Amino acid sequence: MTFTEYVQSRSDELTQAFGQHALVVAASMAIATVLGVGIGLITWRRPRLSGLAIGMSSGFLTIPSFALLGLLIPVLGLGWTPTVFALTLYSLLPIIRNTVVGLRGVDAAIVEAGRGMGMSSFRVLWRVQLPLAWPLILTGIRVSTQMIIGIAAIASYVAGPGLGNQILDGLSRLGSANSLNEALAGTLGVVILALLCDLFFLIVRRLTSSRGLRVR
Amino acid sequence: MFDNSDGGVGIELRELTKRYPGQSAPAVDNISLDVPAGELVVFVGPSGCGKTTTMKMINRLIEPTSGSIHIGGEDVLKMRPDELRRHVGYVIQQIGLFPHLTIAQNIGVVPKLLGWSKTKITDRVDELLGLVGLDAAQFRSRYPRQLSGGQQQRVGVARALAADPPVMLMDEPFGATDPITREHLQNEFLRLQRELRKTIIFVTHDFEEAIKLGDWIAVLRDGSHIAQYDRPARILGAPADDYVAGFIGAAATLKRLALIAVDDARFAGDAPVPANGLPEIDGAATLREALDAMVAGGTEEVVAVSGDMRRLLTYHDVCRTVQSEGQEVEHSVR
Repeated sequence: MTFTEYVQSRSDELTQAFGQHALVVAASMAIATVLGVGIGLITWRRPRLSGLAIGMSSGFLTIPSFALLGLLIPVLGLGWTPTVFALTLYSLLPIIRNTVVGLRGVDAAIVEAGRGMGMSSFRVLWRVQLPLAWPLILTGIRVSTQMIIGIAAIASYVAGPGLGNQILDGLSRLGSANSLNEALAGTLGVVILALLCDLFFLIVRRLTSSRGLRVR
Repeated sequence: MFDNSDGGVGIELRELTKRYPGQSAPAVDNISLDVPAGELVVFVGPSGCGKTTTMKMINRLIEPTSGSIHIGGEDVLKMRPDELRRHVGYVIQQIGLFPHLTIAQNIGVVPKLLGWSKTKITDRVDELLGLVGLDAAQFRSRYPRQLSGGQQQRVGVARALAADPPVMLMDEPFGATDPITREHLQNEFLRLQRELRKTIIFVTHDFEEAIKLGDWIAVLRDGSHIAQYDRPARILGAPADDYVAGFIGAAATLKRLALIAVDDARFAGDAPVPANGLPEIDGAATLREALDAMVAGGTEEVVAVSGDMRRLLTYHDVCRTVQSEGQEVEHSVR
């Protein structure tokens, strides 16, 4: 069977795996975005606290994904829960860091002008600092997404959802019928998902960041 | 907020002090000063003398340690800071326009905070753009980064004027622009102020700018101590001490000439105006410019033109004018 024939014959299975892969990444990113931006908002004014948050979230990243998922089995069991948990932890660093850096990078004079005109500090944060930091925060979210699309493939080790099942299964029975096709199909699916996500963020960036920040 | 009905409000500072924890000397030490309604007072002094701190206490971006501030008789320290600031125009050197908002949205910030209707804000924005010399149709939908520094500062002034505050605080607003743009902005601002008659505190370290713009000048030294608070001509004519004299620098007389309009000179009177050959100078120009024209033309006489009237202004007229002004100054100082 050629690769094309394989993909055609297993299209249902592959589509489902692709959809689950996308879903587990989306769910993890949604949680991580709320958490990461929230932690960034709380800590950015306090260097010691934001240092701690960034240090811890980069600490998570040093744990090998294989080890983390395995260690989570006794606590969270198998399947979706440990997968989403691990992916969320991995995606925190770029989001927290870019939120902190983005908010700190807003020109102090702009903040002073806002306060000087009688905007409350919350209003300045919400209407001025956050919109100005947004492109950088969005970049953090995008980097995290790209990163965990790859890591999500390893989740099949804890019976997690997604294209990792095709890759792991294919590789484990390498040499038998269609094993290479299966692993290749899984890998290609991951690459396609990554490209689609990148496109998605390109569009989101276009739609959600002010034209005033892009001109000239 | 402030009762503006009788044409402006004054500002009173009483024993205003700002002390930062861990610093032995206060940043602002017990300053008391009155700013008359509708007049422009320049705080001038070296960097770090406390002039900006003094100004920022007035809109409470910095909270005073002690002392009182009244605007139009109302106690500023009893107001809600955000509410207060919506009624006090604020312009800073770095301008601080919001880059993600259009020019119209930038100017509309305070009116929006005050809950004006959309149409009222739009009309006001167009009016203000016209007032600061920018074509509304061309500029209202642009973004700050698409504007030159000078244009941005005009928008900064328009934004501060948006809700028609009776009081304006300006912190070296033209300090970051090149000399030519600065001169333009200063002239336009003077024209605007003659029309609007806001009560303004203007901070600068540029004494020339202080003379040019101020109705009054407060020369400040360390700790925001007032070295001298007087009319520009008096400070030039009778500096209170060496510190003030040092601040004025050389050529004080020439600087005073720059404060006197040609029309106000003491003309010798009936000297006939020669038909031609002499440089001409506009009556609204300053005596310094008249003197400049004399030196440039290698002559001791110029023709002062004010409307249909043509008068002969001589070098001696200029000297007599500045000397008599000097006597007036000394007289009034005594």
